[in-house]
Amino acid sequence: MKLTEIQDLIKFVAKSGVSEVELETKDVKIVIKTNNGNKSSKGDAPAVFNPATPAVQPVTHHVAQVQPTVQNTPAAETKAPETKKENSASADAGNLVTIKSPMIGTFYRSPGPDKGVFVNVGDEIKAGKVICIIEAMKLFNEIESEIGGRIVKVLVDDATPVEYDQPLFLVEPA
Amino acid sequence: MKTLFTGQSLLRVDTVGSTNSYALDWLRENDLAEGTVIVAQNQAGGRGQRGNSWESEPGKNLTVSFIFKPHFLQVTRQFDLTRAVSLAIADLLAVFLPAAELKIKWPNDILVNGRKVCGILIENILRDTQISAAVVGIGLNVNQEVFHSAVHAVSMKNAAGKTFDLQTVLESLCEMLEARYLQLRSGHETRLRSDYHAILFGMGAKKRFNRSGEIFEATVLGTTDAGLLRLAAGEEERNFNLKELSWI
Repeated sequence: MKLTEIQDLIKFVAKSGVSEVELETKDVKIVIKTNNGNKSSKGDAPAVFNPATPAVQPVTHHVAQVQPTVQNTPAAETKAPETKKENSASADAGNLVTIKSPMIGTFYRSPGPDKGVFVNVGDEIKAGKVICIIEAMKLFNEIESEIGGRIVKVLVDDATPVEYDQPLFLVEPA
Repeated sequence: MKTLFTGQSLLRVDTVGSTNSYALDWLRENDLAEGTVIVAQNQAGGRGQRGNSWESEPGKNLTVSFIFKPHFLQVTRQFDLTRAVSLAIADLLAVFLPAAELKIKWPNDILVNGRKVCGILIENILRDTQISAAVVGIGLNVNQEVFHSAVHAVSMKNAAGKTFDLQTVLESLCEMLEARYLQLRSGHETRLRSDYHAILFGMGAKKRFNRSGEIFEATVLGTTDAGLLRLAAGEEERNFNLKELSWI
C-alpha cells in the first residue's frame, strides 16, 4: 500500500463521518479512529505508518488518531453567479450538447426518494459529475457527465422510463 | 482468504450509513482496488433499493459491499452481473444449508425454503458508457432470529437451527463471488444464464402476477439475455421488465 493511498484513506475517513475504519490487506492492517463518534481514543499515537515491506514481517497494527479537520462544507457551495439571461439557452442552441441515455431503464434525478436532485437547470457541472441514475431490473447506474458545462435543460421527468439514446440533458459546454 | 483479489483488501467500517453509499462516495474521489470489500460492523442505515430500508440486528448478519470493475461488461448486458452475484449467494447457501431449498426469485431475491434470506443492491458507476465500477451490496441474514418488519424474511440460522461464524461466511462469500465473477469475466455468460434458470423460482410453472392492478396467470419461461422475464399466457409469449409487473 502506498503512502498516498493511506493519506487518502485518512482524509476520506475524516470527512465521511464514520468513527472507526479498519483496513486489512495481505501485509498491513490499519485502524483509523476519529472523534466523529463519541468513542474515546486509545492514545495519542501520531499518524505514523509502517507499510509492511518484506513479506516475512509480522502484520503491523497501528492506531492512528485522526482529527477530522475537514469541516462540513456549508450547504451553500460557491455557485457561479447566475448572470445569464433566461433565454440564453435558445440563443446558444447551436453550441448545446445533448447527454443521452446509455441504456433502457427508469430515469431518476435524485439518489433516493427523499434526497435532493443531482443537478438543476443552471448548475455548472464538471466532467465526471453524477447527473442521474438509470435503473433497470434493480441495477442502478449512476451516470456521470462526460463534459463540463452548464445544465440548460432537463429533458425527462423524474422516475419515468427512458429508451437507449434518448436525450436526457442539454448542456452548454464550458 | 483463498481468493485472487476478492477480499484481499478489506475495510471494516463502523458506519452509520450503508456500505454501498460509503463505497460510492469513496469512488467519486479516490480509487479502490477491484475486489475491495467493505464490511459494516454495526450497520444502522441499511439501504435497499431506492429508499427501502434493510432490517438488520447489529452484529448478527453480513452487510457488505464488494467493488468490481467490469469494464468488459456491456451496459446492455449488465444483468449477467446480477446473475453472477445471485448465483454466488446460492452457491454459498448450498454449502452452509445443504438441506434447504434454494431459489432465485426474479430478478435477484434469494429464497431459502420460500423466504427471503438475502438482499442484493448493485450500483454501477457509468463513465463514457462503460461500467467503470460496480458496487455490489449484499445483506445476508445469518444469525438474526426474529424479523419485525420483514415478514417473509428468514436467516441461515432459522433454516439450519445453528449459529454461523460471520467471518467464515464472509470468507466463503468472497470465494464464491470471485468464482462467479471470473466466469462472467472470461465470457461464460451462457453458463451463468443456464445456472440461473436452473434455480429460478417458478421456472416452467404457472405463477400469478400483477400487472398494474390486473391479476393474471402465466408460465415462467425464463429470462432474456438482458434480464427481462419471459412469460407465456395461453398462446401468447411476452417479455416483461420489472416496472411492468410484480409477483403475487
